[in-house]
Parts: sequence; structure tokens; C-alpha cells
Amino acid sequence: MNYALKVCVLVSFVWLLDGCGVTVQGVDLSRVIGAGSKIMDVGEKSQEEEIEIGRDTAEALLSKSGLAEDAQLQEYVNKVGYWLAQHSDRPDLPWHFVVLNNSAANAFAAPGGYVFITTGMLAKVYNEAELAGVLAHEIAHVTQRHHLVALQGQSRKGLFGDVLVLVQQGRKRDEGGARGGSTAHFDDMVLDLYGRGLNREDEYRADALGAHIVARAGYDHYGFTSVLQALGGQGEDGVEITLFLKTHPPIHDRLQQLEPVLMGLDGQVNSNRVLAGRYLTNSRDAMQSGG
Amino acid sequence: MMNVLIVPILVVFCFLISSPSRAAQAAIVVRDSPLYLDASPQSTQLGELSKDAEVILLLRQGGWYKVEAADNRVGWLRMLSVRFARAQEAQSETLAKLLAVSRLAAPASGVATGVRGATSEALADDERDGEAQLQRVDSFVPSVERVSQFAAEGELSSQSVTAIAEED
Repeated sequence: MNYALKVCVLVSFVWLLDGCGVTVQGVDLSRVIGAGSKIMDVGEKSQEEEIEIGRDTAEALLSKSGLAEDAQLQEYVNKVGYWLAQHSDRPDLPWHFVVLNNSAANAFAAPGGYVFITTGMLAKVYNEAELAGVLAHEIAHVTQRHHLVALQGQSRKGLFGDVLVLVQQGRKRDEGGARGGSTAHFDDMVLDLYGRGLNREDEYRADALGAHIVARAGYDHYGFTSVLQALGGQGEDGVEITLFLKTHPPIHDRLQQLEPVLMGLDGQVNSNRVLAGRYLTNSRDAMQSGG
Repeated sequence: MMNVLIVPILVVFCFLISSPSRAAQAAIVVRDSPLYLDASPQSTQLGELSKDAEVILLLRQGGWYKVEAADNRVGWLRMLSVRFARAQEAQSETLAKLLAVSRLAAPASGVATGVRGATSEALADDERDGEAQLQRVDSFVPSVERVSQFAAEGELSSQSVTAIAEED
């Protein structure tokens, strides 16, 4: 069945259910369809719905990764992140910055204000401005709703499958099941997206917006460039071929795209704080365990 | 002679310093680039470095690196005029040794997946209680007052920056 036909059938299905209070095996399908459209109809999302989807996404990601145990480090990264978020286009989101205990250098975001960074990435960062650069890039993905739109696209591809899984979710809820917010299928969808990453235009956009956020917050706006250069220099020497290197624009291309943005910021700011000492004080344990 | 001396000096330097930095990183010039006396395009131009020239990064200041070229000239290059060298690219003995030292000092595993996309390692990891971890995450959120204090302690001040153009 082609996509257009699927949509027509589903729209008819939802219309028939709307207001009818139809239940199947004790599951209120109109409620379930409502939950399904929560993901599929992303363009019309309220901020509350976006936050709810983000929390489900974060839960799915956290089911696969352990938190770093260092509470001081978690609070430090949150303070840096919150300061940056206050200089983004969406300061009112309930931002959460999460350090994951993982030796791979990585960072990613989820809708609604969730930003994740691994201890492996912290071990490659040399000062607070570089950390700010990484976090600001992820903040930009959130403010631009990049992951939300990508999830919408994935959900559309599996229209009926999602509805059926959400029926199961509704049943779980009725029975007081443990996972109220996510389903196994939703988890798979999330993990697939995060395994593939976003498209290159989203990445370029997040690079540019992230540089602006960092500059507005008073940090050295070249910190992120330094991190990218270091990661680019690492290449594939003696390590596994990564998803990043296989599926995303080369770092050299990103730096080329970023250069005019950075030079445009040069004359606009009077502050370019680096804060290497404060970063080292707060991340020493991660630096030692990140490998 | 200078090339012979600089490697042991840098080796000692790398092992002695306790605070990490990106100093003493081998790099490749990605385009013909002017070498300046100071970190400014208005400063005296010392000459030019050709594309693919090898340099050692000594210091970063904003969007500039202080570099030492293979011919021992020291000056400043725009940051985006270089990329970090990889081991297989090291043509000179100096660069190869320097990269070997950098590897010894590397703090992490070296699995670089960048700043998007989760890792295959993470995704294949054991199942955890995501909901319980999410509750812990909530507990790390700072108050507005603590964030303001944190910014003040770091002498961070909000800057006025022209907004970036909206996407079409």
C-alpha cells in the first residue's frame, strides 16, 4: 500500500473513531490514536507535547546507557548547559543535561530539552568553552526541533505498525504496565534514529546556531571548532569505524561551513571566556575514567 | 638541529604538564595561508605556508594558532587554515614522533563518533531502568539563582550578537 493510501485509510479510521469512544479488548482506540498522532503530527505540536515526546525519547536512550555517577560533574554540566540555554531561542524549555558513562566520544539531544554527553567526550574536551561548544550544538538541535521532525518522518514510514504497537501500549497502561511513556517499537524508532544521526543540513545549521549561542553566553566561540579539529584528527586510526564517519558529513566540510559564521562573530563580542581551570576541577574524574 | 631538539623538549613537556591542552599537536595546512607575527590579520606578515605543509601547534588564542613550521619559523595562522594530522600522514620524522607522543598522552579510548548519533556500543548495551535514570536526571537540574551565580563566578556576561538568518 503506498503512503498516500495509508494516510487516507488512517485518516478515515481516526475520523470514524473520533467521538465514538470505541474500545477494542478494553483499549480506548481513540485515545490510542491520539497518542499515535502525538508522534506523527509533529508540525502541529505544542511545547507540552514536544516535552512529553522528548521525555519518552530520553527514557528510551537512558534504558541503553548508564549515567555517570559523579553528581558534582552532572551538576556542573547542567550549570554550563543552563547558562547556554538561557541564550538560545527557547530558554523556557525544561532543559536537562546528562553525562553518560561511556568511553566513546559522543553527544546528542532529544526533543523538549534533553542533551546528553558522554564521559568519553568530556575526556576529549580541554576547557569549559569547548564543553559549551558541544552542548550548544545540541541545544541548537533541540531549538530547531531536528530530532522531533526526524522522528515524525520515521513514524510516517511505519504508519500502521505504530498504531498497533500503541494499542498494546494502551493495554499496558490500563493494566498499570511499567513503561507508560514508550513502547518497544517507539524505542526501536528512537534508537534507529540515533544510530543513523541527522541529515547534514541539520548538522550545519546546529553548528552555526551553536556558535551563536556560545558567543551570546560570553564563551570563546572557537571552542567547538577545536573539538571538531581534534575529533577529525583522530580519524579511524586503530579504532572501530564509527557511525559518525560512515554516515555524516566530513568534519572538514563542517569546518568550512562554519568558518564564515565564526569570522562574522569575531567583531561582535567582547567576551571570550575559556575557563580551563574550572573545567579541569569539575571533570577530573571523567578525564581519568573516560578512556 | 632545531628539529632534533624540539622533539625531546616536547616529549618532556607532554609528560610533565598535568593540565591537558592542545599544545604540541601536529597539524597540516589545508590551504596556502599567510603566517602572521601576531594573532591578527593586521599584524606583520612573516610569509606564507603552502597547502599540505606540516606544522606543530604551540598555542591557541581565539581563532588563531601559534605554530612552528618545518623550517623553524614561528608565527600565527588562522585556526581553520589547519587540520590535525593523523599518524599515517606524518611524512617527517619530527611529525611522526610527535604524533606517537600525542597518542601516549591521549586520555580516552579514541572512539570518536562525533556530536550526533549514538554509538553502536551504547545502543547494543544492556537494558537499564530508563525511568529510574530519568528521575535521577531531574535531580541534577540547578536553580536559576545557582546558574546566575555560576556565570558570575566565571565572569561570563551575556553578549549581543546579530541573529542568524532563519531557514527558508
